[in-house]
Amino acid sequence: MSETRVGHAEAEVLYHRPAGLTDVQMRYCPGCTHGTAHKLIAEVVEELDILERTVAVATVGCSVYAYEYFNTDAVQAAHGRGPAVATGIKRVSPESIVFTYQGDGDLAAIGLSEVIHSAQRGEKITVIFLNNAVFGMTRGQMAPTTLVGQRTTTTPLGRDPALSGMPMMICEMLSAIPGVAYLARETMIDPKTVRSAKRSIRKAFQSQIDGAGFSLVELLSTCPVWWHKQPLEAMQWIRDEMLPQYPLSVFVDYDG
Amino acid sequence: MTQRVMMTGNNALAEGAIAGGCRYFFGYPITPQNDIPKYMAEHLPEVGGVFLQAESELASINMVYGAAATGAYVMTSSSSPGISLMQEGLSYMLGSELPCVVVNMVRGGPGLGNIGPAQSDYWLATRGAGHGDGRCLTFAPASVQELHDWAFEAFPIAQRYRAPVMILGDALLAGMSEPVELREHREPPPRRQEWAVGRPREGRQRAIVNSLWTDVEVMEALNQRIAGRLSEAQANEVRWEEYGADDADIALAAYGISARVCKTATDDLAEAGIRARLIRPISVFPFPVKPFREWSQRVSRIISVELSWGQLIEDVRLAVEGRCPVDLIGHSGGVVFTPEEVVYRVKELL
Amino acid sequence: MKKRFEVVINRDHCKACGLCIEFCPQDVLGTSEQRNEAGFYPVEVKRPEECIGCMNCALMCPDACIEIYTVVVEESVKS
Repeated sequence: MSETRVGHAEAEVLYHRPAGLTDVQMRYCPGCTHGTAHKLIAEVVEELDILERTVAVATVGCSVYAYEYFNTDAVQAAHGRGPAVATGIKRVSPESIVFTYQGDGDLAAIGLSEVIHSAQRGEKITVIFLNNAVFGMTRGQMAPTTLVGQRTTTTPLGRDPALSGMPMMICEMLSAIPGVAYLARETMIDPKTVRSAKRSIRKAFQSQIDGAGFSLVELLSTCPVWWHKQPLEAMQWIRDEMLPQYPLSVFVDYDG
Repeated sequence: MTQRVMMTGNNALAEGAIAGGCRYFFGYPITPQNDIPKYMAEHLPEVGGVFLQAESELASINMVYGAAATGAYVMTSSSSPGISLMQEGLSYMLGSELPCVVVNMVRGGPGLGNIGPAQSDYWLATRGAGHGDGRCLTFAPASVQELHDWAFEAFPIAQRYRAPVMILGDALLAGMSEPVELREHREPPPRRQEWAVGRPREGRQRAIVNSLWTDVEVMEALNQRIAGRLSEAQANEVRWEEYGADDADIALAAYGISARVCKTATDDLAEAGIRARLIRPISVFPFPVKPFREWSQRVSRIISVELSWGQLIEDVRLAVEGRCPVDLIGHSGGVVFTPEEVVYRVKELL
Repeated sequence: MKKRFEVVINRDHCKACGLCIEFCPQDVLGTSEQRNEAGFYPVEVKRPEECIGCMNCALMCPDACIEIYTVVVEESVKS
């Protein structure tokens, strides 16, 4: 038996690098799930056929270069101000699909007011929130979402609730706000959770297309370097340590 | 047919902005400019515009930044403490080469201060557009009519120089009523700037609005571009007014509400036999160097009359370049001169 | 006629995080012995015939380095 090899052009593409990504290599550390999240967003905007009218708001953290990776119009925002910048864009150009991409320092520390008020207004934007329980870009300081007992450069003995309070539960806080159309916490630690994350990201963008209100997907993510773990170990740490603190759930679904 | 009505400074400014094509306002309440967001809330929807009260001045300037990135005619207004909060945003606008209009109705400071009129944000306006090189083009109206006219003109100026334009008022100008000849409404141009985001894609390259450039030479090139535009503004946008004696012995430097007082004081000084020339900067950045350079060669001294402890005076000294003494008559914290006081203090100096 | 699957890896973008290897149920993937320009030993396809097209590798890859094609195989009999 011999094989006739039909070249790639005639092979059926089962999975291709999404059109929503540029060709630029993402600078994230090996095993960092920022890249996975970018990939899922890029797939969703391509599949929903909104690539041409999407505007990305890049924010400050490891993802500061997001405007180089998403194949869309993009605006760089100051630290924490993404949802306010997105509001300005969306109010001028409601036909644009506007999303912010924020880490836990950007969204839950300096930017807490902006994200809560955007949700309160039911601002028709989508926020993708990467929660890796640490400030990555600045080399590993405590974030509002750092776990109790977790060692960081500013909590060398482990986070002490008596000093720094308990980890911040963003989805739980926002779930009380009527203006929220879609709100979910997902992760990307195995194929099942990656598929689920993509489903939530798609629903979030769909809720914006439908004009239903504010949407946010919290993605529990790895930070191999500042957790001092190998990529696979980091995935396991999410499963073993983060999930008990941050349960996965769809908190609000305008369509469900 | 132009209408002539009595309006307060705040309302005249807001009407001027809308007439000039402003269609987006994001702001936050702070005395003494609250009538501006009020006017915008009432009248922007009438022209198909959008008014949004933001949760803070910090959020306001960032909403302005986002809207400016789409190429829209957008503005905000605030007063001294709120402008401090906006400085980060102004730096980002300059660095991202974005146009907008920002109004500062200056009040007593520093700190929480009070709601009296002041001119103690001169440095903030002309130097303090946040961190980094780059300055806001800054204009200082001295009447309700000028507030109206500068609000009308500011938007295309901002677009031309791709920078924030600041309109510097104060608590007195904001609240006082004077007759205004209203400008006729014009529509803003369509959002077609090649740097703007959110336009239909239609095969074009994607637009990126950004101020992060880790390549230091690219960052320097940006700074040179900004400096180049500001040089152009220095050639084209300088405005000032002179009043008083052609054969003056002394000159007064004053802008805004101080200049109104000094106009009367100049007349009073003339009656007292002191020939004074009032030089009123209308653009404070770019600063009108020329009249100060010329007059410093003809007068025995120049006196900066300002509602601060010495901010305008620094630019006067720079322009004078040591050719004659430069003195200060100042007030602060919301206290305003009377013409009599100015005359008295000028006489003391002579 | 049967189908098989071809996994194509962008070896320049691969950072050798190992997630695709870990989540492949068929041991299709392994580590290359040749470094790439960035200094990583990237992933390469070791047992292509075992691929069942589950796409776990493409799902897990944080760098979108992996593309997968369905290839139609024709059988011909030697006469």
